[in-house]
Parts: sequence; structure tokens; C-alpha cells
Amino acid sequence: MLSLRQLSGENVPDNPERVFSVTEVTDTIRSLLREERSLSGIAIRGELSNYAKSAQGHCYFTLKDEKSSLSCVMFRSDAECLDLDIENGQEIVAVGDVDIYAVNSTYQLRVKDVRLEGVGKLYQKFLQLKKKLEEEGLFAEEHKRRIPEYPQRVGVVTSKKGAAFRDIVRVLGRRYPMAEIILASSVVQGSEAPPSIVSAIEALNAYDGIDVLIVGRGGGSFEDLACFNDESVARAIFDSVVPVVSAVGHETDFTIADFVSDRRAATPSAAAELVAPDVGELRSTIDTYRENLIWDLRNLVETRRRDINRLKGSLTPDIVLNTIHTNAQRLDDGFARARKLLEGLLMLRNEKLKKLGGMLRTADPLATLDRGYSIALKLPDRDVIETMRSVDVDDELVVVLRDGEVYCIVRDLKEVERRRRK
Amino acid sequence: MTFEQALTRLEGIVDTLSKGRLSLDQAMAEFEEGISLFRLCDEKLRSAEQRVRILTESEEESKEHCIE
Repeated sequence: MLSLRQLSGENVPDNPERVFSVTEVTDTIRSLLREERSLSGIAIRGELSNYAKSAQGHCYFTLKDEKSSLSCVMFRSDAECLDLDIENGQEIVAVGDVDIYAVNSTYQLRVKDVRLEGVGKLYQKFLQLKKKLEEEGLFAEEHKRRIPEYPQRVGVVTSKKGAAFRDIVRVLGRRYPMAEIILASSVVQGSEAPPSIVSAIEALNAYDGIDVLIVGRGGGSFEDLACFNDESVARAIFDSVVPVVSAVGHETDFTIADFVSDRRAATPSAAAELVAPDVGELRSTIDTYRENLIWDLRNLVETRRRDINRLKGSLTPDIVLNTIHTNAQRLDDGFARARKLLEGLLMLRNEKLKKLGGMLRTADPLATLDRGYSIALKLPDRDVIETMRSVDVDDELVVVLRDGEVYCIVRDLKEVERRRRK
Repeated sequence: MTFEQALTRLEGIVDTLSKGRLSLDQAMAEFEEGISLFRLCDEKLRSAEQRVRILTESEEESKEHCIE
């Protein structure tokens, strides 16, 4: 057995009278512990308790098993590197060195790293997969598909015997019986579950006319729900052409399936409510539509009726008579003008009226002269000259004007072609 | 015509008619179509009977049955 003096490495003569200080003893114990390789860089399994974090960011906890407990400290620099949250009750493996806390002569584990064991191990795998798939973009919002509002066929992936399926059928039957439910029954627990769920998702994608899938099961422990944290299931959900609603009965935590699905429902019943509207609400909606149609048409008819009545009111007898009178007068005027014009024309063209004098006396012939026309007559008989052929050079003519007559001798004749107005 | 198509069309007609810019003839035609769409939707909502189909493990055949 070694003496304390030898342990402390002092090369002094054996002196039983030697008195040590507290610190000396403590230092000796510390160097002993550091030299003992079985106490350095070791992994210790135990349940975590008395967890506390100081204001400086150092973590203190106790690691214990059935018989013993071990104080642990994890300094901030190490604690900051931890990518998981530690809490009381967790089964963990702490990695570190056994050291001495000189202030109150206790030994403790200076923890460098913490790993989760058991459920913890699963949870760590879960975190890793989640991180990986998230980095791959499987949870990205841009990949989320819209859930159709009025599904005709709802595909369900769960156990045929489970409460989840019964709940989905019950809720859809109450809310939206119009939708046909297609179940691809699958195992939802244990190692067979992932391939079973994957092939059920694929089978429903191959089935004709399915609008939305519900994939899930009732609640359970973290291990029970492991298949919904499986990578192949996550990828099958991501690859599904039909939008997927996850329905894993687990109120608080999310599964990988929840992250990758297009929508997440907390329970199978909630999923059934999410995928379909309520028939009762729809009926009141369409009833409202019908009321609106009737109301709007009635309004339209009423508006037209008012328009017509307003027009009818403006059609009084006075207005009608006035219109008729005005039009009649206009007609009369027009008629008189037309007759005058016609008479003028007739007067000029009538070959039978050879004697202008007689004609002038009977039918107000001076009207023509008043408008600036003149009439040429051949002397001595005062025949109306209608064509140059009835006149020769040196003939005597009289031109009748509004205010008198001009006596002329024909000096020359010249033929002019005159365009007639129609 | 699916329920969704009928409902969408009905919503369109309700919207058009509510604007009140149609002639009486057009409005009557829209109204009549709207009412028949309403009947169609209403019938679908009333007459729906839940159908559940379970794919068997072989996935080759499928059986159909109603669950009360």
C-alpha cells in the first residue's frame, strides 16, 4: 500500500511527523483520479435527474441507477455543442472524466457529451432523419399540395381493425357521406409497418380518382409510432401524387410523417373533418344561394316594372295629340311646298300654254319672274321661244321681266348643250 | 356533373344575377339554370349514402360493403 506522501510524488525522507494541508490532500486525490484511465474519457449510462442550468450556462445534473448516483457538471462550452434537449427522466449516456470538486470534497463527472439511450436512441435517430429530410427539402412549403374541397374519393391508409379507421368512417359518414372511402389496410406497428404503409400508399395512388389520402393510426408511445418516423414512409408520402393528410394520434409531438404530409391532423377524426366539408353547412349554403337567386330575380323584375310604369306615365294624351299635330302641320307644309314646286315645273313645261300672256293672267305667272327668270317671246305674235331653231338673225324679240319688257333684235345664234338636272 | 362543378356554377350564377345588369330574358335563363343546379346539389347532398371499399391484401380484387 502506497503512502500518501509517495502518491503525492514527493521525494522527501520518510517523516511520519509531516502534516499536510487540505489542498495538498485534495491535489493528491485529483492527480490520482487523473492518472486512473478507467475514470477518464468514459461513457456512463444512467437516468438523468436534478437537472439545472446556471445563469452562466453551465448544466448540473445527477446520473443515477438503482443503487448509486453521480453528480455531473457540463460546462457551457460543451453544453452549447449539444444538439438535443436534455431533461429529467431521460436515459442517457454521459461521456466525460471523473474529477474532484475541491470546494466540498465531492467527486463529479465533468461531462463532455451526452447521448440518448433507449427511447432516447430512437429520438436521436428521429432528430437525425428529420434534419436530413428537412435539408433535402421534403418539408418545404412549396411542395405542399392543396387538399381538394369536395373529395369524391378519400383513400385511407391505416389498420382495418383499428379505432382510427372506425373514427374516419364515422366522421365522414356524418359530415360528408358523398365521399367514397377506399381503405388500403396496412400494419401500423412494428417492423412490418413501414413496407406495409408504403405499399398501401402506392396502391391508393394507383387507384382511380382518389382526391386525398389519410395516413395514420391512433395514439401510442414513441416506439409505437416509429413507423411514422420511418424514412421510406416519409418518402412514400412525399412521392404520393394524391395529397396526404397525416393523422397520427399524438397531440403534442410531431412525427416525420406529419412534417412531410401536405396537412397534419392531430387525430384520425380530425383528419376526416379536415378533408371534407359538412353536408349540413353545405345545405344551408345552397339554401342561401337559392334565396339569393329568388330575391335578385324579384328585384330585377320589380326594377323593370317600375321602369315601364314610369314610361307609361309619360305617355299622356296631350303629348300624343301634340305629336300628331306637329307632325300633321309638318306634313301640310311639306305638301304645300311640294305642290308649289310641281306647279312651277308644270307651268314651264306645258306645251299647251303657248300664250304666256293668258297663262300669266290665270296662274299668278309673275311668280316665276319674281324669282329672277325672264321669258323670251318672238314678235310680232309673241310666241314663246322654246328653241333656238324658231329664231333667226335679225328677228325681233321681246324679253319679259319682273318689271317690264325689253325689245331686242337677234344678232347671232349659238347652240349650247345644257345638262339637265334630274 | 360533379357536386363541385354544380356548386361552382351555382356560385357563378348567384354572383352574376346579384349584379342586376342582365336583361329580363337573360336573368330568367340564369335563374332557371341556378334553380336546377340548386336542385342537383340538394339532391346529391340528401341522397348521399356512405360507401366504403376495402382493398384486399392482394389488391387484385376488392370488396365493397357498407358500414352502418
